[in-house]
Amino acid sequence: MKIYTKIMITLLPLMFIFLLSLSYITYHLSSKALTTLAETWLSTSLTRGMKVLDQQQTNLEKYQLDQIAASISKAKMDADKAISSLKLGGKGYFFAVNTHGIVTVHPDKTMTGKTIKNHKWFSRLKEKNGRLVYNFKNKQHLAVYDFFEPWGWYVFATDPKEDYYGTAARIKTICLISSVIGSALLAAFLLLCTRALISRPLIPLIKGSQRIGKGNLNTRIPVLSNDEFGMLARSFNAMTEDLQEVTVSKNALEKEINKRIKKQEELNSTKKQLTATLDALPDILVKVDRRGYIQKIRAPENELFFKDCGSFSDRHLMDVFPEDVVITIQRAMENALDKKSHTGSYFYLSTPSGQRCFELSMAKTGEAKNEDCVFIILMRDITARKLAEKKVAEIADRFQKMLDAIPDMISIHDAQYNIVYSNWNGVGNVPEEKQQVFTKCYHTYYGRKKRCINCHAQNVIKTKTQYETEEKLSDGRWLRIIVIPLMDDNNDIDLFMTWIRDITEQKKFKDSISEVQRMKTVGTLAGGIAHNFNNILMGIQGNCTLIKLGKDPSHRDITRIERIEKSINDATFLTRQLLGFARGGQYNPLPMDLNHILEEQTRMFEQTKKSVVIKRNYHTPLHTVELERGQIEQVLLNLYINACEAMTGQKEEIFLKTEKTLIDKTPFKIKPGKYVKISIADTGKGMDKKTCRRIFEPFFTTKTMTRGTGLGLSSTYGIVKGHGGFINVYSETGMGTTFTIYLPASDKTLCTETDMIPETEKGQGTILLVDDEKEILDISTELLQELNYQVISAKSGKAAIDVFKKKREAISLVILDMIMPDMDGEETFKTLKKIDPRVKVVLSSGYSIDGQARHILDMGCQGFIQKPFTLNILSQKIKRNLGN
Amino acid sequence: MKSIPVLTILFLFFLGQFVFFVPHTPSQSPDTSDTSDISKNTFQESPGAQKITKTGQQILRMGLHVSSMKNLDPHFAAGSQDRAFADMVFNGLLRYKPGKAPEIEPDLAEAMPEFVMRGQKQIWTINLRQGIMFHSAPGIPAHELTASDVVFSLQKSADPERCRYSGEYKGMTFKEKDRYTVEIVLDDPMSTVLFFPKFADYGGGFIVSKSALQKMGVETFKHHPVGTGPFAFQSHDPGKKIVLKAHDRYFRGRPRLRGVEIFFTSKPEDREKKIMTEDLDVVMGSAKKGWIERMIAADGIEMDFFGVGEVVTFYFNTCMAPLDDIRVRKAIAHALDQDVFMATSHKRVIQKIYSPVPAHLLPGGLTKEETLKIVYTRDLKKARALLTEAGYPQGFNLDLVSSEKRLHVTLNQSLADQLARIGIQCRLHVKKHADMHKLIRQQPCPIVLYVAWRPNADQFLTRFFHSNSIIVKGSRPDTNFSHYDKIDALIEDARREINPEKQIDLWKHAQIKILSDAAAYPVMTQIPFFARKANVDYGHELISTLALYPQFTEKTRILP
Repeated sequence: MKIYTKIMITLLPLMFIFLLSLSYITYHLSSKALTTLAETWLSTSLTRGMKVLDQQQTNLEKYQLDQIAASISKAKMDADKAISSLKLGGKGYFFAVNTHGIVTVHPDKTMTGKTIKNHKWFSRLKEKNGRLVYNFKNKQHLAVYDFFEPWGWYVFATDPKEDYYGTAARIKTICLISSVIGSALLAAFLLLCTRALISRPLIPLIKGSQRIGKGNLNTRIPVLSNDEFGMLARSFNAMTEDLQEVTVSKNALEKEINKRIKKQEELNSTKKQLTATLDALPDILVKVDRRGYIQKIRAPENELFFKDCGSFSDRHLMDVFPEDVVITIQRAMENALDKKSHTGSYFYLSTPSGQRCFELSMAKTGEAKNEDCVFIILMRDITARKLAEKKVAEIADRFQKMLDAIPDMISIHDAQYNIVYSNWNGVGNVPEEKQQVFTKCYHTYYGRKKRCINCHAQNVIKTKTQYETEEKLSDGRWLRIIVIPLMDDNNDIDLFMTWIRDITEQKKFKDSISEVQRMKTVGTLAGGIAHNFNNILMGIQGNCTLIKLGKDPSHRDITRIERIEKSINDATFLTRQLLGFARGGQYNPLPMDLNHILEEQTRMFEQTKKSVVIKRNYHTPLHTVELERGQIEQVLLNLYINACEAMTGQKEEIFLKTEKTLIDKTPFKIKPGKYVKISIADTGKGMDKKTCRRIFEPFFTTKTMTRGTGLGLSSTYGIVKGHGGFINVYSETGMGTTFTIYLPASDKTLCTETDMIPETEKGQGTILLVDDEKEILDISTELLQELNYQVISAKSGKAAIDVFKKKREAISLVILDMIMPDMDGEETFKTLKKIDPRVKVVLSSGYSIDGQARHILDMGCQGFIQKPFTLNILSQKIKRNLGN
Repeated sequence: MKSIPVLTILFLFFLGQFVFFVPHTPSQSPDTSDTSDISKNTFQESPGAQKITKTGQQILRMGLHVSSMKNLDPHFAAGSQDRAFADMVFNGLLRYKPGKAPEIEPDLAEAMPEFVMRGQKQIWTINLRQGIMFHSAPGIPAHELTASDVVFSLQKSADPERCRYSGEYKGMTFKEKDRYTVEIVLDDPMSTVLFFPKFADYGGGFIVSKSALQKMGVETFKHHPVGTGPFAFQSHDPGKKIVLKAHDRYFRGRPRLRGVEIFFTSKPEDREKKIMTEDLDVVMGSAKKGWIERMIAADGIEMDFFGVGEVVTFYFNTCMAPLDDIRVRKAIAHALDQDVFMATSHKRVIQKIYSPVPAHLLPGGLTKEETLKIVYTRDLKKARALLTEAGYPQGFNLDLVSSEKRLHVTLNQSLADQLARIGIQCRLHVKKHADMHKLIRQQPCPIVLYVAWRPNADQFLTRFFHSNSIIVKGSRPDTNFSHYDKIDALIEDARREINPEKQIDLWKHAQIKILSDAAAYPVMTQIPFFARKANVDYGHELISTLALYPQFTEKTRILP
């Protein structure tokens, strides 16, 4: 048995008994204090329970219910409920017992009604209040009670011992555990002391002697104290040192011998490798001394010039090489004297296989001032490489020229945004001082110190895919930017190329095309509306005419009818404006002098609007233009009115100018060639860009509804288009507006107009009237009958064909509606023509003469009459087409 | 012909422009769909009128047990027919959940109101939903409900001249805080148990249109009421039917029905016949013998029995000899058997009660367990002994007034039969229902049978047992037929108590006192029951309703 074990066996039981005693004292004192505390707490809680009973009794008395058994019973039930629900610690509770020992309140409802008068503690109860310790369900309880006189109830606040002694009980266990742990700790302490003072000094002595015994002479026993253990250790260590000195001398000698043998072997191996390497080189090696005498020369076997190089030994360089080569070599030698080596020079040598280029490299061995200083010259044949370099330079030059010829800006950047290349247009777009490569693109192009926030190249570097975008610059220019990644062998981005093209003109062209398409769509809609209104107006106009015919001119209704006709005229004016915009007006253009028409119209306007000053600037002679006078007058009038509206409250000046011009390219679908340009500029308030974009739309107006219809400029647009020209507007807010009209010049001879005032003329013959709308059919029939014609009416194209087949001899003229269901005007006309090629047909439509009507006229139709028409116009049309 | 599409486009274009530029104020735009003169408002049924309208929606037809309805003002609704009508046409700030009374939820109010105390006063703030529209009426376009309407309506409810339930709103001040906020100031604070029912869709809680009432006048309003409910009054054919149309702008969504027609079918056999012959979709049930059994047996007919039931109670006059002697009242109580009364009605339509306030329907009622010590079981020997002790060994005679209604006659007859066994001879004077009501309020009767529902315990106790409510003599005569005055303090303290638990306790004690004093003999509740076609879907679960009919809402529909 070890020493420390013996010590532990002696001391441990004593310590355990001591600690156990200490724990018991602690436990006893705690439980006593807790009991006192629990009593106080139960007394306080009991007060709450008593208050509940007091409250119930107070209520019974207050409402005079204290004599009603049911009320008292309910009060007791309520009290039971209230007290039972009161919390009393973890396991405590209230209960009540009446003077007969019957339980009246208890949280365990099975207890309610039971008697406990046989319990000893019940007989010990005092009349008023007190404390009680009793057993219930094998558990000791502490209770504090009070007596509620009105109901004869003892009310208890009770708590099981385990609840209020809970802490003490827990301490008991803790004390026991503490004693055991304390004993264990003490034992451990004793163990450590024994080990430290006795066992530990012995262990190094034992272990050291064991190692020395096994031959380990490096072993030293630590001297831990100056006692007997320390003296023993020192003696052991002195003996071991003597033994060790002898052994070390022997080992050092053996090591030195082995090291030298190994080095000699390494030198032999290196020499062999060097010789093999030199033999494998394709280059010529020459060993020359300081004076230029060749000591040794070595050349590949296939080298013709140095075929007999063995004979070159001890000869001077001048004897072997041409003078220029020798000079090159000597310069290299001088260079090598300074820097130990030389590279980079080359020379040409005529050899049996032709002129060849050699690269010269040289190394010096030994000190320059010493005689043994020699030069190793390496001559490498680089003839093929030189040829390749020349070819590459030629290709690069051609490629550079090609890139410079591209009008776009092309540049190549490395991944750090340095410009490594730029074509001429790229260089030309940056300031001269920045026209240098290898600067950051953001610095060169934008003068920035950091990368641009929206850098396109950054996306390309991230995604490794091509990136394309369009950007608008602050000066209004549009650029298309393409960034293309250039990948290296590892599929990483080595460089990227930026290709920038100015697409401003392309953009403008595209926008213009969209605008034309939009206006065309709006025009179609406007044309349709005008057509249908014309049909309606036709009905009203016809009926007015018929009513007037049957009445005395002095009849009072005549004035009213004329007022209706005036309204119809106003409405017709509107539909003409619409058709004008839709290029649907009826045009009969004649070659005319535009200056003349403009001047007449301008004078007339000046008379009606005297506050306006119109300054003219006519170019004479001007190209002849084919136009319908009325329409062009309408255009001018619209633009003048528009100008006057814009100049309200300002200086009213209009500038009218005509010019000749030649147009070769526009975004509009017009023929290139000679044009007449008319400019009308005002000094008004001008328009913003948004308004400018919309001013030719029908019903778009900046005026109030009482001042404008929004059709003036749209009809102007349509009329100019209808004449094969185009109109442009330029305006800025506060800077006035300029409308520019371009009309195609004509080679035709000028003609003179004659005014024709139509008069109603009656005639003879049978007219086949074709229209799908009954209203128009009826009115037109009556109008024709008024003009003395016989009328056969047909409701459709098919009906007209049937009638025509039967009565074609009798029919002098066909008035044919253009738009009809089933068989339209065109198809009906074609069929009529087939039946009788001589048939005379006048087309009638609320639409314009353009489009389908023009097509039918081109097929041989005699004339066109636009709805709504008056009796005069109808009579003139028929007369003209019948040839009467 | 070809011009029509283009003209249509043109017309729509200009119309669109007009609509775009004209300011659009839907809340003020008049609804001209119903602005004809009120005198022409008599319903005209076209020959062969169809139940399904052109739009595919359907009209639900209900048969009620009355022969007419006179006053349609919701603040005077007393009979079940009036309550049913008011339920469809009007809303309250709060509402009893359809089919789930007495659970209450917000209706016109955005949320359940909360209160703060300012001094001794209790301030309740009610935020109204926005965009709720009143029905249109002749000369009165549809218009938005605002706080002004609510204040006007509640002031009307508090006015005894203009509301049957004005007593409910005594001591309250109504203020319009802004367009959608109303403040109610209570002089005497009350609990949520009492406060919420006063502002739910019952009694004076219905909200009427201020402008409609002011323009129409009270008399016209009685015949053409204007509310915010899912159905709007359309026409009244006196003695025949009332027609309601769907309120298209109802704030809970457009009703799925096109309308509702209320037919006056006072005879149970008529209702039975008409529901069998497809003329009616829903009819009020009848407790007449065999009626329920025949309906249950009929194909395609479903019966719905639901709460809340009207409470049937006998009130003993505690001030009228010989019942002013408690021994006599107790003798009578011991002579009666509650089960005998209950046997007079079909068991599906009745529920037993133990106190004047039905415990199964309202908080504050007494349960069977709570009345064990006070219940009067039939004990003829004890009854006779009590009579003898009181000086009536041979009994005495009583004159009783009864309504002509089946339930009243049956129960009064049963009472007379049972009392006869202890020598009390009853002479039954059967009167028309309305006359009975008039009589019992004008002159004291020894025993009164009354069938009624009140929305809370306070209402029951105040109106039947508070001294103020004693008929003729009380400061606010109402329905205290017992002339009872022993529980005033309990009732008043309970009303002031804002702790619901304590409040309920006080109500219970009050009823124990009533029973102890034998001032009343609670009999049962009689629940409403209706027969309906199997394809009628009320759109909600039907457990109980204060509207006393199954409740037709925006979700009610007739399945194909």
